[in-house]
Amino acid sequence: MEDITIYSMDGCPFCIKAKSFLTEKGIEFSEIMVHPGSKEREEMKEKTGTDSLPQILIGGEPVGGYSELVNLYSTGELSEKLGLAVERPAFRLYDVIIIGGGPAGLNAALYTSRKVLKTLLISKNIGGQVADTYDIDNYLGFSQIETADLINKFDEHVEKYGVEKLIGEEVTALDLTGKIKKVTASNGNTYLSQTVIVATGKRPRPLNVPGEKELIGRGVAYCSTCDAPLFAGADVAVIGGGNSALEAVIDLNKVANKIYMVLLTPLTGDQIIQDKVKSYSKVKIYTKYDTIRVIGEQTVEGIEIKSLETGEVSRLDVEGVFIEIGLLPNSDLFIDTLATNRHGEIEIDYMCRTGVGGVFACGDVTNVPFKQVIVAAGEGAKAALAAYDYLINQR
Amino acid sequence: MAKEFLSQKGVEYTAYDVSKDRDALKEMMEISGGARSVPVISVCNEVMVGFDSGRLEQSLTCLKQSSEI
Repeated sequence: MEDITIYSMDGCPFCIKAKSFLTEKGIEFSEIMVHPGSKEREEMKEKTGTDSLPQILIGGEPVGGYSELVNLYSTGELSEKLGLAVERPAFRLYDVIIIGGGPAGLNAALYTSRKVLKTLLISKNIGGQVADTYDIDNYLGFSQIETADLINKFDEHVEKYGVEKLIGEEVTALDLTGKIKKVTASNGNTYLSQTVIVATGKRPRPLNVPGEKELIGRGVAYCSTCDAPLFAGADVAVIGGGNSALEAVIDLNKVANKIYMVLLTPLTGDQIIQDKVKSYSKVKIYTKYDTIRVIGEQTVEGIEIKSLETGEVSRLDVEGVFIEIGLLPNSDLFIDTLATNRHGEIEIDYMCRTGVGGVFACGDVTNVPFKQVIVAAGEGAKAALAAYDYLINQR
Repeated sequence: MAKEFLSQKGVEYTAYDVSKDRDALKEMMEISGGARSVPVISVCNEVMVGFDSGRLEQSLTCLKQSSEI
């Protein structure tokens, strides 16, 4: 069996990673510390031709650093070099892993699979935020289509090319820095890929008040299209004053008994929708009120609101609270490695590149303006083609 | 999605449209400890809020057991 030697130094993060990678795999190695100016450092430079750390030698032959090591392992070459039984590599190496199954992720999958790239799509669901609306009137070619039908069409189209999908799973950890990207899903498996396309979209912004989290799905709702029908005959509150809050009132007006709108500032949504909502007799608007608490044991029983002008606190008895105060990008997993703007959106260039080699982003999670289904889908296609370009240039 | 899943497994089920049936909504909130979101799925004595294919599949084993007896 060939020996592995690692030249390393204290405080070098990739040295630690390389060592723990080998330990994890039960592969023995010897370590040579190379402090600046030491004779070992000179020896390392001589053998490998480079001064970067770590340097890994297998049977005296330099193979590179940490990412090269992972690469060798994932292709099975490491086991071969070490004369270990060549088990099927523990991981398949994908060309592309797409995170997110909304219009951006699905269209990216369509394009990568048509380029015959080995693709894995990981997503909590199919459809993303689109699944939270009822119908779409502005997707070219479909003058009016129910979103469930549109999503089915997207999914069937992608299915035709046999994209491998992992649905119902979330990504829990990532390592995007090396040439081989590691993506760990909530099923505990780690998947390896040469490129990653981030298409994680946005999620409703929470109010962050006491009682809210505890009563989600028990009267606290973020999607009026999905949940409004469950509040037939009930008194409800809608928090927010933008277009999505106004749309929620329109959805609820069909079923609810009484609707309270609670907003910090005067209404900001489109005038045409504002006028419609103001004409409803069921609606009472509380302008310049802050929602400070959701009340209820098992289910929502009311909310507490505080006047910004007088400071007076009052209670509204409601069975439902629809929180419609905007969206947050699902970029939490990436903020350490990818550049984001002040809204938390991943910054990309015109080719959907993030600045980290082999990592692309598209759709609502990015700084690209105009959050529209067709824009997201188009961006997904761009990200896929940019990933293809990147892979071609790597070969 | 849950309905599709059950049909694929060949499991018979009764569906209640809680947006139209107030009594069913009330019952759903009672058995689930207050859930006002869909789907709520009841299999044997287990009540699940939301669709989790893994959990649902596991809970379906009780149907198999009871039919074997």
